[in-house]
Amino acid sequence: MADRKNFSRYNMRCGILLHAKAGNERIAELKLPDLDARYLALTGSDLPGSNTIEFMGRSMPLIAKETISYKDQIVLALFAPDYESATLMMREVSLSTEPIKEAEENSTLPDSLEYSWGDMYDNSDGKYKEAETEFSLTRIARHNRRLYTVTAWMEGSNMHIEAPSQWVELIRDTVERATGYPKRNIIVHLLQYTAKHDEYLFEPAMLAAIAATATIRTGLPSEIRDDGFFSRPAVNVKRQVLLDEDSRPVYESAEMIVDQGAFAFAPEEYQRQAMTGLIPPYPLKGFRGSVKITSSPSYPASFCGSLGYSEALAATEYHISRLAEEAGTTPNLYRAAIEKEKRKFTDYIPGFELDGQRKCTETVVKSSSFDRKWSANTFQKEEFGLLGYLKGIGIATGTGIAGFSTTLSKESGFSAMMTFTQKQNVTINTSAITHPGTMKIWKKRISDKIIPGRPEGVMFLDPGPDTMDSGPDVLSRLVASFTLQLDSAAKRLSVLKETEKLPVSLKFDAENTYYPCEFENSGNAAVVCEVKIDKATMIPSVTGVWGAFNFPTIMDRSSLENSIRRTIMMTLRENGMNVPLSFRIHLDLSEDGTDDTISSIQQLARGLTLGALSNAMKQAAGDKSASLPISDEEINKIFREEE
Amino acid sequence: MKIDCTIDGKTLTLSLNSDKPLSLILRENTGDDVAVNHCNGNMCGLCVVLVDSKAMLSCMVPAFEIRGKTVTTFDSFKRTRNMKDIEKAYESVGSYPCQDCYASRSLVFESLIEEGTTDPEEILKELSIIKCPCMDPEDSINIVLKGIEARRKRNVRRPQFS
Repeated sequence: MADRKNFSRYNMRCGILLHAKAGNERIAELKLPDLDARYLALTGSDLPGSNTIEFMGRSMPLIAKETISYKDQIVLALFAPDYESATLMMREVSLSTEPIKEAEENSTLPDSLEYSWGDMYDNSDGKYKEAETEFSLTRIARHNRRLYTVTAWMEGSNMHIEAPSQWVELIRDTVERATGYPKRNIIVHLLQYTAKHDEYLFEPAMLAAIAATATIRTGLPSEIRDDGFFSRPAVNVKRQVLLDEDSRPVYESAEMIVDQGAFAFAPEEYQRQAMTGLIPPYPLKGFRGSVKITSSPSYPASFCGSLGYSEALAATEYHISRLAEEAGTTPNLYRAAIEKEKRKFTDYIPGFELDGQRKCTETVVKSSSFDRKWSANTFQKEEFGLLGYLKGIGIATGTGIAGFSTTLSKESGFSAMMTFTQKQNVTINTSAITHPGTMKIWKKRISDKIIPGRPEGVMFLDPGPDTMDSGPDVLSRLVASFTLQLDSAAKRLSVLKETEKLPVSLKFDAENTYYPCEFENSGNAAVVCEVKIDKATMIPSVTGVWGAFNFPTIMDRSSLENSIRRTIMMTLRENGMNVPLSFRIHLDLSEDGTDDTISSIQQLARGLTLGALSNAMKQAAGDKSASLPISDEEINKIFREEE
Repeated sequence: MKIDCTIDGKTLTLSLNSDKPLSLILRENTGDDVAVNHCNGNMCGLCVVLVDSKAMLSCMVPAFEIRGKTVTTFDSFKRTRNMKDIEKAYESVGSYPCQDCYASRSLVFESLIEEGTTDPEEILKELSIIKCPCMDPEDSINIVLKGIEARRKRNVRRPQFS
């Protein structure tokens, strides 16, 4: 890796951004004060190249030019010798806007994704009992308390960028497009980061393009800082089901509507992931599922937190619990009654044995006394009248999926190269340089297959102009599917090194030829969540979480446990839950010893926590509480309305 | 104004605005990259430093407050034996903070261990300056208790409070 910046802070330009106060507006006037040579203002027209960021075929403007599409969109970048001067000068900038009366229709959104099997029954004869459930998540759009700092400087003919990023190639692409600077000469120095959702994906690339432009214009190193933003889309899932006389679902339709904000990124992939979560685990004679993406003048939910699988899984689990309620039994007993030994094979997820899931369910049901608490809460609720019992417990079970879908992997062409050198070492050319812990595991796995007992002989090449693009590090793609691709390449290389002349190289891409469906299932889990609403303050608190997770292989137990705990904690807090002193997460981790696919832990844990929490809140606060996040104010409103 | 202080063992005389936040001083005047965040006082909780062994959010400490005081950032603290105690505590509890808040949380733990705080409410109150939700309360309390135990075993003399 090239040397990091070694220039003085006194000889650089510091940039801050002006964000729009509202979306769906037209810029009437952008008035700048008189700026001397020490200052630089960049608007949408000042970028030498294209004013867009492109991601998997979709694009959005870096800086708003004439129209402001969403609240918080970048309108202006102002560079000054220091941040204090930049902030003071920014106060002199005046932006006047006028609302756009006729909202333009977003024509770039894909059609709704439909998936079905069997014929649907009309039920005009009333043969089946009809039931309907609705699950919704309110949009979360807020600053995530992170500050993105991106620095750009020139050294000879090279443009250096220092930034935290989930996808180095996106930075290089965006900078090349915005500045016209050849990609070969753009060197990215990665800063350490932890991405809980989809942070460090788009924003660093956008800031890098602006900072690089400032560097070219001023000839000085430029640094730009901006507050990070987290946006979860608004989700609404409506399900209609026909039940037989034993309350078993026979025909079902599910419709998911997702508002991705002003610009949709990878909406087709979102639809595929969401559809995988929407497909119910129980057998049905007929099923119709649809996932529709809509837009609104709000901050784009880039990778939408989890690309939809978590939310759809939570919606399915919420639905199953409502059906159990309808049938007058506990969700796990109801589930045992309606599910078969094996799940149905679909285009999205293979037909796998449900044994693992059942074991996880049994574990959490037993350790949390779920059946007893569920029944007690249900009975007490009926006794308590208007205010309700204010206690609830919910369960969610499901399977994990790994990384991106097969379709996206085939389209994207992300690749890497593994070489067995004459010095009997293995080098890997990839942009997927992740956290040290993951790299250590990768080195061990590869060395076991090619050069046993010598992990130090496996080397990941330093990033440079010839680094191959292995795709973004979101959704644990690099940990999940990339690990398998490395394994597979290592196996093939171990054969080739014996038969071919050294050095021998093997280029492998992200296409997973062994995936018959869009996603491969991996790992099972069950989560129980117990909540209590304070009678006086109406603040919802979570009193305990019980989780049982079963994976094919556990590479690092401690990291895995921490990752699950963190995801559970973050999901609870994100959805408005207070965490009291007595709160505890009871985790049970197990592995079945098979060397199988690795799943995205965060997606699974997040989806199940969300599902269990929705179920618990439904029991505690009643029918109107289905939308998360929820606050004390909203709960108070629910009970007032009931009065 | 001129401010004399000790930052990471170096005695410095800094010439700066009296209300400049410590986080910016560390970043701009001393070139410390550890305090990666400066959230303009939005309480992100990721810029904790030790000021005379007490954990504080550096973005909330104005320059005049550090006059004559000792500031320790995670960059120098991570090499001390005290950090080893905290690492041992993480290991024995089986839980550790995420990379985002690792530095800040470790410094708050150090402050609590140094003071010998064992009251759970007090521990959680102190830890509330870190907004990252990656650890559950019980683990945090256990880490402090284990840290105090490890420190005692090492026979480190703690400052006496009147």
